[in-house]
Amino acid sequence: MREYILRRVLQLIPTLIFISIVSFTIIQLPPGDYLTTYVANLAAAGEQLSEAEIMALEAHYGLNQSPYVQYIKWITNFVQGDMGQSFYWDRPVSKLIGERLALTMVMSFLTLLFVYAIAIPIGIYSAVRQYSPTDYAVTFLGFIGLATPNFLLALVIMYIGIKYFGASAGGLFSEEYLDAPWSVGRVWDMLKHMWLPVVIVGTAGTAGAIRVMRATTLDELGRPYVETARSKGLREGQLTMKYPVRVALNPILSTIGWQLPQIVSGTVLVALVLNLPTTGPLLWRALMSQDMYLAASFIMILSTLTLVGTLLSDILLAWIDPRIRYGDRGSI
Amino acid sequence: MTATGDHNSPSNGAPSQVSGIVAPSDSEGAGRHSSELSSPSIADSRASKDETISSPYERGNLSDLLDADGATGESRTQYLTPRQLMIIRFGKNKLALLGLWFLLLIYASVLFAPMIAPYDPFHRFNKHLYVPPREIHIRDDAGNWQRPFVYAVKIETNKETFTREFIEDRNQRYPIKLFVHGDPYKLWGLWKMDWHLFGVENAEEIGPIFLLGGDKFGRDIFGRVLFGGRISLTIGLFGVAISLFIGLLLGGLSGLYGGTVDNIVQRLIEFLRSIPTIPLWMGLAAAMPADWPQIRIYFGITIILSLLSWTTLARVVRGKFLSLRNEDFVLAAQSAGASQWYLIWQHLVPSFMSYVLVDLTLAIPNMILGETALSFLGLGLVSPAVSWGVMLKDAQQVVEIAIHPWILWPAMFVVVTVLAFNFIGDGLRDAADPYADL
Amino acid sequence: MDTLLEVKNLQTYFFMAEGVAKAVDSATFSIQRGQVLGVVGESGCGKSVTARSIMRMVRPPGHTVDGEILYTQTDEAGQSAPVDLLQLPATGPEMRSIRGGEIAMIFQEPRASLSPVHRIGDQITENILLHQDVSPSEAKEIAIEMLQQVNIPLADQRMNAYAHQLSGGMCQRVMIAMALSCHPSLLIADEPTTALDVTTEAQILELMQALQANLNMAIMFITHDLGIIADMADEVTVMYLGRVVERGSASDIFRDPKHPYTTALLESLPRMDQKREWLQTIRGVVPDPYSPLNGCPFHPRCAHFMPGICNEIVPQPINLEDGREVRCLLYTEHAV
Ligand SMILES: Nc1ncnc2c1ncn2[C@@H]1O[C@H](COP(=O)(O)OP(=O)(O)O)[C@@H](O)[C@H]1O
Ligand SMILES: [Mg+2]
Repeated sequence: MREYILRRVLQLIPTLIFISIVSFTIIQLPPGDYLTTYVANLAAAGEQLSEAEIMALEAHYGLNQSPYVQYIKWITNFVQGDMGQSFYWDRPVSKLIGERLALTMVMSFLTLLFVYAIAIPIGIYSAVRQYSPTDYAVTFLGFIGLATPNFLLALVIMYIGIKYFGASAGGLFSEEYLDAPWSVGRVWDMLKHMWLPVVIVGTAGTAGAIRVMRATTLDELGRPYVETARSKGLREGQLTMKYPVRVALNPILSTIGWQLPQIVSGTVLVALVLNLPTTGPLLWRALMSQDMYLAASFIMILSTLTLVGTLLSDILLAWIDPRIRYGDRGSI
Repeated sequence: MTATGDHNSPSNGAPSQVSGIVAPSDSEGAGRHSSELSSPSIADSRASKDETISSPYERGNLSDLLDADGATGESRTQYLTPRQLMIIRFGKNKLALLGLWFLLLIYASVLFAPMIAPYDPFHRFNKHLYVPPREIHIRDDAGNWQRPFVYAVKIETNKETFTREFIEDRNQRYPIKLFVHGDPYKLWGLWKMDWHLFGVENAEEIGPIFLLGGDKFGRDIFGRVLFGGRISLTIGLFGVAISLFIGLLLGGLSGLYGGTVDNIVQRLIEFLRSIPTIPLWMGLAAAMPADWPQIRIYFGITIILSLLSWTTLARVVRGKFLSLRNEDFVLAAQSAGASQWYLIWQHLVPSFMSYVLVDLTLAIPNMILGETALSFLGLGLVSPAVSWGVMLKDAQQVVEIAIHPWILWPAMFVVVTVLAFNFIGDGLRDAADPYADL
Repeated sequence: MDTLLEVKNLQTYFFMAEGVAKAVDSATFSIQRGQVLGVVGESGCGKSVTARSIMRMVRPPGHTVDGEILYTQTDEAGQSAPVDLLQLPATGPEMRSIRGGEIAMIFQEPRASLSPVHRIGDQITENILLHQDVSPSEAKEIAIEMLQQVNIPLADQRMNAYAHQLSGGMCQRVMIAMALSCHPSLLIADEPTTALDVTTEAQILELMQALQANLNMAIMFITHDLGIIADMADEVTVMYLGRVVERGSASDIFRDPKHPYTTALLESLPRMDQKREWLQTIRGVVPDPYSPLNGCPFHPRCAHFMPGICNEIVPQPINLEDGREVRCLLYTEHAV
């Protein structure tokens, strides 16, 4: 087990390096470097930087050097917490990102919980009662859920909210807590607002997970070891939960690995539509205004966090499935 | 010990097993129960006689299964090729067929968009901004059946809210005409024409026939959906073609050479699968210079979308290459001196084509959704280009949707198209691999 | 004789979209206490379905539609009385206590028959805890003891192993240990050695024989291999297309098979004393269960087919001398 974790953590390193290269490329892609834009912006705002100040900044970010050196500079600064300057906000990126990132993580985590809390029981029920009306209904809704992009779902729900309830469904906080400092009341208020985006973001994932859960449970229900368990005289319900469901849980939990990126993607989009104070809108504004340091930092951090989440879920999976722990993952 | 009945010795000396088989009629059971004893005996009669051949069902290999199906289930399959089998099974899936018909219809409509749409996509009816979907009547006020017609719309300003309202003038009836002359266009850039499938006369006065309503510039949403489909629907196809190329290339190399190449490609796949796509797409899309011409942005978006979606395909291809490398028939062909490329082309490629097809069908909708999302965000195509995502950008403000809900129509097309692709993909998967329940 | 289980006119049908498959069609046979009954027939003859019917483990679309399964249950006081298992609710408490406790079963695919995610020790203990009034630690001791009885080396360490870490033969031993852990009076073994190689098969058979003698338990041994039957069984029941076509003592049947199907099965056995280029097979395959044949179901493949008789009249079981039974028109007045 320890060896497995170590191996997985080591595998993370090249991936992280790759992400950083991609993120850095995104910073570099637009014509002109960030500093030119920054200086131009300041000039437009009526503030002139002296030659020396510009030179100092250039040196700090290594802009006068080759892209390779610039990358090294950038990543070293990044790891030390200096993520560059957002010229749009005129503040250090790290200051801007903090709270929004935390909210994104909370939302992604809740969505993950939601997806599995809904998908697992429904998938099992659907499989055990194969071809029942419920099964058909679930399958049908699942298809729709998969086909509806979640930002559209958000739009439709907002529309319904305005049309029939006269209320806007956006935001994460009520008026009185909007700029209030953190308190129990504020957390509670946030949770009350968060269920809607969680449901919206989770829909597609839930639909997919139900399908996987149903199919694997069906698969397992016909396996010989279920016969064996039945031949022992176990009660039917107990038997289903202890054997086929237990085995079918593994593949579904192993899909956390691809649920998480989807969920993070989803939160970015849905947050935009619902106007939530998470990373989504900020990333969007950064991209629209070519605020590349901010955007790249977001991409870098979101990806890293997703990777870490995936890693954690893999370790969890290895912990519960002996076959993975002993290294023959292919046989599942 | 299964061999008890496997070795054939007809008492009359001739290999007459086949004539002795009681052909089971069309049924599942035939395939199932004949697996243990009978299929080897038939296999024997085809191949070597003293080799113990275990039932292919026990080995659980797909190509074997399909082979065996073609051979043993005499009744059911009559020596059909796997591909024919797949088509037959697909044909039995009603949802998949429904999806297929829908897609044929929508792609055809998109192809003939300028003919079917009653107006040019940029034709603005300045008096009719945000006009609601035009009602088409087939009964007049007296309740008599008529050929389809519309009433003229009058524009009135509501005295209280100061909004414009469109009201039907019950006194003026205009029949809907087929093949009317209207905005000129050049079909596929080749033929100059000016007739449209349907329309009403004097549209500026009595109001344009907007089946799905009009947008903020008084343009026809229905027609624009058809024109937009040209971009939204083809981005999926081109994107998939690109990811097919990358997937086949990298998956093939990875499976063929193994070792370091395989390792690198595997890491790359793992990486791409584990990062959130939307932020990355957004980043890459935003990095495209804003002054690029639309056509270049179109291809840029396509490439961005396909850069992240070749991974599943590559996995499938790699897996197939790996498992087939050790298959008997490949080894046999190799020892018979077949060249590598001949082998790949003749044996490996057909054996995974069905998987590839399934994967492609399921990848297209993702691309459609990707384009829609990016353009919706303003990071992909922008006006004056017309795509479903661009049209939905007008619906970014919920307030607008609340007042003119019909601007969400493009979303409906996105959802139904994606649904259709998913139905087909599922149908293909079931048809290709009936033994896998997923 | 002391009859342990008597199956009368058992009918288990599968109701499929293609039609009704009569997997078991009025099968009648019995098992004596402490004896081994061999059930033979080609694949698809309904052997497994018969076994599952006795265990009341047939799953939809299969249903046992008629018949009696009289199981002689012995209570604490030593009184024995037959219960009709078909009258008990299949998932009710009485049936569940019989299943696994008094009638146990082992299967064809030993490794697949064990859960891939549970330790084998836990799987055995589960059975013991279900049927015996013992504490978990006592159950564990019993389980280790059972593993030793089936000759598994280092039994206490093996308790922590998973199925995928054991060989097929080992898995079947584990299955046997699990099945016998509650001292059932009947063990149903559904082709327990078919998936094993010949050497392992011999070991498992030897083990089963030894345990059978020790524990004085009856075995219903299902196989399509007459060679095994010859070694193991006291009584033999031959099944064809869901019907019992012949039954009698093993020695009688091997010496003097009555039904042409039995004869054909015997002829397909490889023998040392005959030098033949090909092994004999039975002409044709088991026909499709969905389209019932007129008359005797074996007639299209029968070497003694009597036109106008065998494809017209349904044969009924006929009692021959010394308790043998055969279901063939050759032994009736229809035969010329
Ligand atoms: N799950 C099932 N669904 C449908 N038909 C079945 C099923 N199981 C068994 N059958 C039918 O019962 C017949 C006998 O099967 P089985 O008892 O497994 O044969 P065997 O003698 O090889 O053990 C099969 O030919 C099949 O028609
Ligand atoms: Mg069987």
